[in-house]
This record gives sequence, structure tokens and C-alpha cells, in this order.
Amino acid sequence: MSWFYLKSVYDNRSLIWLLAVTDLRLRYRNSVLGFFWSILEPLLMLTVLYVVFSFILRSNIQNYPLFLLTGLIVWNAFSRGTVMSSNCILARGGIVLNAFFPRIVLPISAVITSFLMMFFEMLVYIAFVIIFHFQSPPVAILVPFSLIPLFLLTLGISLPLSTLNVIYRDISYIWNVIVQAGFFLTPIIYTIDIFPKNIQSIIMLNPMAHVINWVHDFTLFNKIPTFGSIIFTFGVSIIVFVIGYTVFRRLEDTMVDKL
Amino acid sequence: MSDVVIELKNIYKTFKLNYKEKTTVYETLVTTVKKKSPSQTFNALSNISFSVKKGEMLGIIGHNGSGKSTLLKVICHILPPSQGSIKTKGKIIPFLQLGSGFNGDLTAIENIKMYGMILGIQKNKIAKKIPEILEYAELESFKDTKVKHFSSGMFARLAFATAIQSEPDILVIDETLSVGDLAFQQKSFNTFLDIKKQNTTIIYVTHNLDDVLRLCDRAILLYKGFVGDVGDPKLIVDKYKTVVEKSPDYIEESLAKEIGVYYQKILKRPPDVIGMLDHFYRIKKGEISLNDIPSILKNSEEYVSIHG
Ligand SMILES: Nc1ncnc2c1ncn2[C@@H]1O[C@H](COP(=O)(O)OP(=O)(O)OP(=O)(O)O)[C@@H](O)[C@H]1O
Ligand SMILES: [Mg+2]
Repeated sequence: MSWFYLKSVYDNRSLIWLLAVTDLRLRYRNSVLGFFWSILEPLLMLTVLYVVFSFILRSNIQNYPLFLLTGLIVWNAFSRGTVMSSNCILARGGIVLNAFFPRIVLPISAVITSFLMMFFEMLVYIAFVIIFHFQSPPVAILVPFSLIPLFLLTLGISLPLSTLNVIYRDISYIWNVIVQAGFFLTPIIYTIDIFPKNIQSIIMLNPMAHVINWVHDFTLFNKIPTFGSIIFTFGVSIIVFVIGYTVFRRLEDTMVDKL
Repeated sequence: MSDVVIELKNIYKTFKLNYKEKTTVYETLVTTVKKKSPSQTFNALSNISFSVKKGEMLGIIGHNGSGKSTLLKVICHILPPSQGSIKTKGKIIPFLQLGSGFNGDLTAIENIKMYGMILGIQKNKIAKKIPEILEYAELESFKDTKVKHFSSGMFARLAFATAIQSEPDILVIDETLSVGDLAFQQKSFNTFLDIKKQNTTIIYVTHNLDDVLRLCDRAILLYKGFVGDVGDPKLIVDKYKTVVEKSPDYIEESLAKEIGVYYQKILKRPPDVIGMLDHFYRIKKGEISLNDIPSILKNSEEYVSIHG
């Protein structure tokens, strides 16, 4: 990693923030319900999943709506962030070809947009807690801790996707499919213990499964993740981020020719 | 030399040609499985070396596709060169396709902020300059209009007004010296002259040869990605008019072949673009004829240094 490049990213922090906030505002500017979409969207998704899984499939997880909601919010931050990033450079080809600024600000700001949306969705969670008089366990204050690997993973995957999608234009479609499959392979609508042990250990190779389990443990089950889980998740997140950053820097230059 | 602000050494820019290129993963997989086809490449820039001094205004002319815009993007660090090195000193502001960074869904003010920051202007400085920018562009009453509803002239004015706030050390212009209607063209041209007076280095690509003659200190003729010649704007413009403009494939093949034979015989190498263009220019001007070429080559420094 070159410090010069990292410094230029730091110097552009207000541009990153402006891009992220502007993108967020644009999403809601031309809609009737405006900002409320950010709350309605997870609510609608939640309702559907709740009906299907608690009545039809008879899931017996306690506080199932909250379980679903927290998992959805965290997963959405990841899936939305990576999907938005995959298109962020291609969509702004004009500016990339006509001005010089570190291109990395584009995927970073897309990920930040996704995280800002996640914070709004958390308001829904808080509303739920209040409405249903749910007693949040004290360890719920540890939730921000799980956002660190979540951010590293989301950005680490977003960086190469954003450049690869310029070179191979179907990358974003492929990634969309992977993300949809990932939703069902991650313990969001179920808990991991519905599987036999050997399948569980395969599922837990996915760092997102750990992050979502942590959030469930923090907000619902009043548990703290095991040391092994913390080491594994942070380790994988940092590796994913470093690889993603390296791939981005490698492809950044060749990519521009293909815009 | 401390006052050199741009220095290019043996710059090449090679593109993979589009029609053979695979742009999806699917295509790549299919072609890799079938058999690899060698990809075709194209040199948009070949062996370009020159330097520019502080405060100088350099014109670049050449036929369509000669590599002018590509060269500007390399100078602005937007496109990395495939080979060679480039050094620049100071803040470079590209005036390439002005306004291409605008987002149609944002208002004029929002676009000024965004575009200004992308051009590297400090956040609080832009905020202060917004009224001035709108006034300059004469668009105060449209400040909250989305720019997708702007006419192309209004669009260009807003972009120009924002970009001139960036206080560049080096200004790189691709054909957009003045924008808008006649009155605004005059105004933007005057602004440009002001910037020029402030000892700003300017690189100016244009098809307007009169501009090159009256504004530039020096000019470069680009020919098919090669430097065809560098020097006094008068000579360069005349060379362009005489040799390149009328027929971009200036080299009548038979003539070129004969010159090529002389080069091989006398200098033991194929002719270079600068030499070739010069012979053609002088032949067309009636200064020399084909028969003079051997003696010209034999009198060249290169020949003397080989043969003592
Ligand atoms: N990204 C790219 N991929 C492949 N070829 C390219 C690319 N960009 C430019 N070229 C090719 O490089 C050559 C030079 O293009 P360039 O835009 O620099 O020409 P120009 O001198 O600016 O022409 P004009 O006077 O029309 O503006 C052209 O043949 C063009 O097709
Ligand atoms: Mg051009």
C-alpha cells in the first residue's frame, strides 16, 4: 500500500462524504414517499419473510421478527453496498475520463451510502423494540463492534467489483446472483443449529455468517462471540480488504482504457 | 532546468482494439476454451518526447484520430502511459469535455459543489464562490434547476464558470477555449486571456489554426500518434496545412517507398516520422525534389557521426 495514495484518499474525505450523501438524497428525491422508503423497504421484506417462515414453516426462534429484522439490516448493508459499488465507476465514466481524482473515492462513497441507509433502517429496529416492549440485553451496545468487519468485508469486495465491472460488463449481474444465493446460505432467516454439525462448519466459513450471528447474539440472546469467531472474522475481513485493495490498485489503470 | 513544468520521455500509449476485445466474462470463458486469439493492438501515441516551460502556451494540432485527446489525458494523469515517463509540476486542470462530470439530477448549485470538489477546489472555498460562479455563468435564476433541463450552452457555461475557479498551474484544453453564445464566447475568451497573463502554463488542442498562430508560443504537429514536428507555430501550421490537412494519408506510397530506400541505403534504418514529414513538406513547397534527398541524408549529423 502506498502511503501517498492513502493520503490522497484522506485528502478527498469531504468529496467522499459529499458523493455518499448526494447519492442518498438522489435516491429519495423523486419519490412520493421519499425518505420513508428506507424504512418501508426492510419492513415489507420483513413482513413477507415473517409470514412465510413463522406461519408456514413454523420457525420457533424467540422474538423471530426482531431476529429477522436485525439479520436483514446487516445483510442489506453488505449486499446493497457491494451491488451499488459494482456499477459505481462504470456509471460515472464521464467524470473518470475527464478529471483526475483518486478513483477509489467512488466505491468508498458507495459503501458509505449503503451504511448510511443501514443506520436509517436501524431506526426501524429501535421502533420495534419500543413498540413490543422488548428488553434489549446490555450487550446490545456492542453492535458497533460488528460493523468493523462488516465494513472491511463490504469495501474489500466492492473495490475489485467496481473495477472488474468496467472490464467485464457482466460482473455486476454475476455478483447479483451470488448475493442472492448468499442470502440463503447465511443464517438470516434461520439459526445455524438447524443443520448437522459438518454442514454448520462449512456455513461458518462465510465471515458474513459470523457477523450476523454476532448481531443476533448482541441484540437478542445476550451472548458474546467466542474468541475463535472474533479472530476468524477479523482475520478474514482484513485479508479480504487487503486483497481487494491490491486488486483495485492493479486494475485501476487498465480499467480506464475500457471505459 | 527548473522552469520545466511538463516533461514527457518516450511516451507510448497502446490500446487493445475494440472489436476483438472480450467485454464479458462469458465471452472470455468461451474464447479461452475454444482457443486464444492474439489480441490486436494499436499505438495511439508512439515515442512522444517533449517538455513545456512554465508560462508557455503550447498548441497541439493534428488530424482526427492523431492522438491529441489521448495525449492530453496522459498529461493530466487520467490515462497512464503504456511506456515512457511523464513528470509534471503543479496543479493540472483539464478542460476536456467540460461538464461531463455533471449529474443531470442535481441542481446547478449542487453540481458546482460536486464538480468543484472533483477538480480539487477546497470545500469551503467553493461554497464562498457559488454566487460568483452563478453570476459569471449568468445563471442566477436557474440556481435550483436540475441541470438536465439546461440547454447545452447553459451547461457549458456553468461548467466553464466552475472550472476557472480552480486556479491551475497548468491548464489543459481540448477544443473548449470559449463556450456558449457569441457574447459569452467573448467573455470566456477574455477570462482565458487573463489566466494566460497570470503565467499559467497552457496546453491547447485545437483545429482552429488561427488561434494557434495568434496565441501559442510553440506548437506540436501530431501525426498518427507520432510527433511530426515541434517548433514555431507558423512553421508547424504551414506544415500541417501543406502535408497533413489535405490528405491525412499524406504519403503517396511510391514516393514514400523511394525515400525509404534512400534511408536504408544511407542511414541503415527506416525513415522516422519527423524526417519523412519534413521531406514531404519541402518537396510540396518546391524547395527540394526527390533527387536531393540522398545528399540531404549524407549531410545529416547522423550520417557524419556514423562515417566519421
Ligand atoms: N479507449 C480507447 N480504446 C481504443 N482506442 C482508443 C481509445 N481512445 C482512443 N483510441 C484511439 O486512439 C486514436 C486517437 O484518438 P484521440 O481521441 O486521441 O484522437 P484526436 O486526435 O483527439 O482526434 P479528434 O481530432 O477527432 O478529437 C483514435 O484512433 C482512437 O480510435
Ligand atoms: Mg480529440
